[in-house]
Amino acid sequence: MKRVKDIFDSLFKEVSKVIVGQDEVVEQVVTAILCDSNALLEGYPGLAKTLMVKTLADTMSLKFSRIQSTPDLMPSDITGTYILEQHDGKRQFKFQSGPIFANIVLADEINRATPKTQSVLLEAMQEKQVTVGTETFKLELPFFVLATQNPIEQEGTYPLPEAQSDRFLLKIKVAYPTQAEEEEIVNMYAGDIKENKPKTILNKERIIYIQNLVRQVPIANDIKQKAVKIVTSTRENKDLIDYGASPRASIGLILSAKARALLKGRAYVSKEDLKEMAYPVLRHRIVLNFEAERKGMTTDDVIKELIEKAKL
Amino acid sequence: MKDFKEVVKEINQTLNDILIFESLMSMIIIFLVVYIVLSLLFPYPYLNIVVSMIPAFVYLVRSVVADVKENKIRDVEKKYPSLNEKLRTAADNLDDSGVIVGVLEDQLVKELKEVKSSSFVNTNKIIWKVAAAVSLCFLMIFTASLDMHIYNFRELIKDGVASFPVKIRENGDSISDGFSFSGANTPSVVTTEDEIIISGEDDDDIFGDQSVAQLSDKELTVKITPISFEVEVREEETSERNYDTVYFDERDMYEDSVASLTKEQNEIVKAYFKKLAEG
Repeated sequence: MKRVKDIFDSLFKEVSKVIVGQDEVVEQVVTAILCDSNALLEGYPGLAKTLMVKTLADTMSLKFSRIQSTPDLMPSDITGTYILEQHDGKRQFKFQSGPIFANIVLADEINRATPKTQSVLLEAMQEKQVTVGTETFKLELPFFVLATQNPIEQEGTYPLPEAQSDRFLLKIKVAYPTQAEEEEIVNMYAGDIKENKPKTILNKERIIYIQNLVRQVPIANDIKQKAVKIVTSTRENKDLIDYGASPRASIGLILSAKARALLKGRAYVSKEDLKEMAYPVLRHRIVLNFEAERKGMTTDDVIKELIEKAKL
Repeated sequence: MKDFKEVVKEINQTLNDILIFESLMSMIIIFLVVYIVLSLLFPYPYLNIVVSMIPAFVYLVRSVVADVKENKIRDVEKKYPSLNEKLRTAADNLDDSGVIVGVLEDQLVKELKEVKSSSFVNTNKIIWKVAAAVSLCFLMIFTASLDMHIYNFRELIKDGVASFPVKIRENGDSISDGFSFSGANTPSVVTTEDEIIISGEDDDDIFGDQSVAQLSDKELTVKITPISFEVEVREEETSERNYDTVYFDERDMYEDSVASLTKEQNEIVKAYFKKLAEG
């Protein structure tokens, strides 16, 4: 366990060479990766979301690709397409793979892509495969989609429907850095250009091995029951919530709590893990009603209330 | 290294033993308290023992069942916060096998070596219970040796039942034929719900006020327990028998019988005796 913790401590250290602050965000992104799942990053522009994901890909020696979503982005722009190639006087179609064929795919501003294009990403996220024409291509493992979303400039966007956002394990909020952090960012990037290339800490095989370990982390029955209770309470609490979280959220909450436990070097899930992971797991899975909005409550406020009610 | 399953079993066993011992101590205290109270109120030692055992055993059974059901792992976690969540997780996943579970179990086996069973014994509580039991034992001995009674129910019952219209025999002079009770030997009456026991004790009037006694249709079982039924034969007046009045006059009987015989019968009788004389 100590070895696993040491690995991730070194990984975070390497990421911190490039990304100032945002420790929690980095931790949650790694959690999603360890759960073999996907994450939705929400934050204002200029918060180093893309850089963070790219740096993580570098530290894990994973193939990284970035898709900038726009309304005119076509599915084939993501998956790739067949091109006509001539060899020895013979013409034949050859599949030219798109940016989806990578280990970490950053779908920037996913809500700007059309639903048709979004659905391609969703198939890739869920099935770890893409279908082009009549042919289905398996994606190389490990595979993660880290999508970003801009909370402002919603005009002309295609917000992800609940059914689609449910497929992201976590919705990670990227907040503004503190003043001290921002000063450090300024010093790092507004001064002399230094090569801050992070070291590689993990590789594909190790990631897959750790992903298997995550599922083996034991959890106490009472903690498991509390996790399920929190999720089911989102469906029962009609005072504040219109639509609650699905059983997929229960699975996600326990799985992400296990991953967090492993990151912290623990061989068991603690209540603290559940408390921490309840917010990113549930915040995109519940729809507040008018009463909650009238009270000025955010989804995080409601989740906090549910956690307190569950006496976690 | 010890198997974690064995360790969990050992923890349960040790804590069960401690809890059962505490329950036994409490049971003894309950028994003694109830017995002392009963012995001060009721003069039936054997019945008091049996009645005192009932609440004591009920407590013991309930307490032991609750103790056995209790989650011992939580108790250990409370005493040793460093084991919090860890121990119960491993205990809940005893049957799971995996790298992480194995690591957790190994870690716990090491950490559980620091756990001492004596830390679960509440010494103050045990001392208090032992002291209470000993004190109650002394109290019981004193009350028994001094024949202490807070309230004499025997007398109360006697007084209450004495007014029952139990007409054993008019004048109260004889309970059983040939024996008479009077003065010091007058039987007193002790009653249970449907039962009256009459014992010989000082009482001038065993029937009491007849206007109070109302048995209605209720059946009354009367038991006579003569405590003092010595018959002072010497003091009993021997009635002189007047045999003249008791037994028949033989001469009168003869005259009466001869007079009632006819001549023929006389002849037959004479002939009979004559024949006998001749041989």
